[in-house]
This record gives sequence, structure tokens and C-alpha cells, in this order.
Amino acid sequence: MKSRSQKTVKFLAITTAIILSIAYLLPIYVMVLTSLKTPYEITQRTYLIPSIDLHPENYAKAFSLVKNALLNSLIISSSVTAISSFVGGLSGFYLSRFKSKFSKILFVLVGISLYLPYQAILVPLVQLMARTRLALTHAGMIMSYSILNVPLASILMGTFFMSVPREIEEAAEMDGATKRQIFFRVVSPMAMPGYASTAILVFTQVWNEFLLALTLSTPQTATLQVKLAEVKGSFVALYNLQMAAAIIGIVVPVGFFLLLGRYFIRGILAGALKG
Amino acid sequence: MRTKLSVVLLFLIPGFAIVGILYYMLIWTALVSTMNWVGMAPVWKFAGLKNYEILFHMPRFWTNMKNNLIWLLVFVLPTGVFGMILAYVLEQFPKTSRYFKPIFLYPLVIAPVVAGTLWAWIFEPQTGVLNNILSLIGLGALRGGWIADPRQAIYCMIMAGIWQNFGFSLVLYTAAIKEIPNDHIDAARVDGAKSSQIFFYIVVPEISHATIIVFSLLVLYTLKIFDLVWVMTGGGPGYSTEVLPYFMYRVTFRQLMVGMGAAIAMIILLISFLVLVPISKWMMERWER
Repeated sequence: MKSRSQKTVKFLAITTAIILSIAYLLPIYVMVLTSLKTPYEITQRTYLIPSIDLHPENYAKAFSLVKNALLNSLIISSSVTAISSFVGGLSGFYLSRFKSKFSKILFVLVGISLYLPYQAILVPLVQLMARTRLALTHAGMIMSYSILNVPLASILMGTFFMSVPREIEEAAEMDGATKRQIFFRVVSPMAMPGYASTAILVFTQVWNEFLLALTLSTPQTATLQVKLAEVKGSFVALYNLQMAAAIIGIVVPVGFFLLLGRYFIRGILAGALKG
Repeated sequence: MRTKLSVVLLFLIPGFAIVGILYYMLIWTALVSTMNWVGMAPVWKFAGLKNYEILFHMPRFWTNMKNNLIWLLVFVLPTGVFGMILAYVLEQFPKTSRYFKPIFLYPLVIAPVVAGTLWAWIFEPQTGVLNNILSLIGLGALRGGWIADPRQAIYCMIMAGIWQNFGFSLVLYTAAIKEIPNDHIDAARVDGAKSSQIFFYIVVPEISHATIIVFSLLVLYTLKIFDLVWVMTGGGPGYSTEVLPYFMYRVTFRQLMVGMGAAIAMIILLISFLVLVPISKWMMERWER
């Protein structure tokens, strides 16, 4: 009796999950189909049915539209990821190993700063970039994003370091290793999965960011998101191009998610819950 | 002792200098919000609270506040509550549900600009996906103006927001539910408690820390929404779908009323302090461990 009612519950739950999954996958399905159609086929409005001939040349056209922006985004996102992970590693190590009243206050201050709305610092950041003449360069973008992502990286790395067992560290210290050696030779290699989580989270965040990119970027440094918004505005009814460009834009983060999803989820949890 | 200090500085300086810059910029914004600064070049003309006063007398500001409130109710509540329920239900069948989770999670890594482009098209009244599917399955009567209708547009955006962030609440609640000691639930089950009773009397209270975090972070999200508005409606029709973060950008960088933009930023910040307080408490607890 009990097992039968449990089976019904399971059936209902799985059915609901399947329906929800379809609702979740449908947008991507329509996106991919449409990106392979001609404008004429789109006017037929049979969005759920694939076209007979596929038109991959849409991707060639979309790619030529976004290729500079794609390169900019790759440069900016990877640089910021490297800088933030490194600096975040240092300050995360401080937060997790030098426990004092001072570091407790720092921990909370850093923790709050990672949730600050970008709006609250947007104007001074633009002024800073203008005054240092970095406003028009990749370096300026990289610096701005690093300022905004180091707090996140510090908290994440601090959290991951806390879960690295201390015994090996203590043994190394007994052997006369300095704190610096311990950080670079002992703790950091052991926290590699933590670095992976931090890197993937920072990378996606910078890759997907729009407000700052829109405010700071010039035609030379425009990131992918700025370009995609532009494509959406200037090819209004050409959904095939819009969708092809959008798919080019999500390939990198979705690829990371599919390959390294575990680290991504661990990063989200470390940022919010675990400690 | 001297070497030790230099080592401490190596770890301390780079990261915390940056955090220092962040707080410095925050104070800077607070100051600017009291200035009568118009135009891109700095104007340090003290105006007191005039910027705030003008804002409070502006109908457009209150439309923004109202829209932020709508986001709070229609976005935060369902995303949090359904995330909790689905996490619990899926945890009952961990083997099967493994395959579902990535499906709900992938929108998290998709840029809001892309999500906005996609959902703006879905909700477009003439060529949009939704209306055409409705006609196709014989529900043409339900066709709507969606994104072009000032009364419905904001809910279309909220739909896109839920689609993107549902996975976030799901993943946090799943982790929290996994941490509930098994014997608590088993003991209740032996005593003859129903699944719904277990959910309300054991699961919900035991994951209350996750609830605080999930809801706080979702509230903070509503105070940052910019991309979706920019891409989907541009704040329109009229300014019916504007929210504070978007308004701040328009005022600062389009109308160049930098002082007033800073005032809006400070209002956003003050509202976010309401949820930053519980978050920083949680931070302290974590640090103690």
C-alpha cells in the first residue's frame, strides 16, 4: 500500500520535472533552430519546426559581426580571472589563517563589498578611469573588473582554504618552511579545485557583465555583451542573426558549465552557504 | 618578527587595497549625491539633500519604486519558494533527479543580455514565439500584447528573471536539504508523519539559514536589474518598466545629472542594507567556525 502511494508520488514528481524541463529547454531549442533559418523561413513563424535546409552561413555572418568583441571579451575575462584568482588566493589565505579581531572585521567588510550594487561605485570608477587615462584601453577594463571581482575571489578562496587540512601545513612549518612557502608550495596546490571554482565563477561573471561594459567600453574595447545588445537593436526582425550571435556568445560559458559544472556549483555554494 | 610582518603584508596588501578602493568610491558616491553636479566634468557645488528632495517629488521615481516592489513580490517569492519545493521533491529521488538539475541550472551561466534578447522575442506580440504557439495549439484567444503592453511588460521581464535564477535557489536549497541529518527525518517517518508534515515541520525549519541567504541574495538581485530592462524594453513603454538601477544609469549617463544619479545609487544602497545586515551576520558566524 505504502509503496504504491510512493510510486504515485514519484510518478507525479517526475512528470512535473519533465514538463518543467521542457519549458526550460524549449527556448534554447527555438534559438538553435532559428539561428539556422533564412529570414523568409522566419516569416513563416513555424518556430518549433526545423527548416529543411540548414543555413550555417548565418553563423559566419554573425561571427564576423561579433569577432572583435569576442576577442575583447576573451582578453578581458581571462586577465581578470587570472588577477582575481591570484590576489584572491593571497587575501583568502590571510583571512583563513591569520585569525584576529582585525581579520574578522576585514572578512565582513570584504563580504559586504562583494554584494554592493555596481551603481554605487559606477560614477567614481568612470572618473578614476578617465583621470588615469585608462578609460579607453583594455587595461582600464581589466583593472575595473579586477577591483570588482577580487572581493568575490577572496571570500571564495578563504572558504576553500578553511577546508584544507592543517596537519600538512603544521608539519611543513616544523620543517622550517615560511608562510610564503607554505602558501605557494603546500596550501595552494592542495586548493586547486578551489581555484578552479573561483576562476570559473569570476570568468562567467565578467563575461556576462553588461552595465560596466556599456559604461566604460569604446568601439575598440567593446565586449561581447555590448555588441550583442547592439546586434539585437540593429537587426530588429532578423532573428536568425540575433540568435546565431547569441549562441556564439554563450558557447564559452555553457561549455565551461557542461565540462566543469561541478566546480561551478561548488563555487556558488561556497559563495553563499558553506563555510 | 620583521620577516613575519613582511609576509603578512604580502597577503594583506593587494586584496585589501582593492577593497579599500571600493569603500573609498562608495563614500565618494555618497558625497556626490549631495552635489549639484550636472555634466560629465566634476562640479563640486554643495546642494544638501536637494537631489533627494527632487526625486521624492518625481512621479517617475515612484513608478520605479513600485516596479522594484513588483519585482520583490513577483520575482523573489516564487523563485525562492518553488526552488525550495522542487529541491525537496527532487531530493526524494536523487538518482532520477540527477539528470534534471543541469537543465534548471544552465540558464545561470547565460548572459542576461542573451536571456533578454531571447525572452523579448518570445513575448513579442506579432512575430513572437509565444503568441504563435498559442495560435498553433488553438488557444489564439490567449494571445496578448505581452512586452508591448505597459501593464504586462514588467511581468514578461520577471518571467525571464525567474527562468534565469530558479536554478540558483534550487542548487542552494538542494545543498541545505542534503545536510539535514537523516535520522531526524527517519524518526518522524517512523512516528507516522506524512511527507507534507515532514516538509513543513522538519525540512523548512532546518533549512532556515538557506532561506535567509537565498531570499537576501534574490532581493539584492532585484536591486541590480539592468541588463534585462535595457535589452527587453529599454524601460518602456514610456517608463512603465523602469527599475531603480536602470533609472540611475539613464539619469547619470544620458541626462548627465550625476548628482541625482548618485542620490538614486545611495537609495539603492540604503535599501540593500536591509538585507546586507543579515548577510553580514551570517558572514560573522561563518568566520567563527
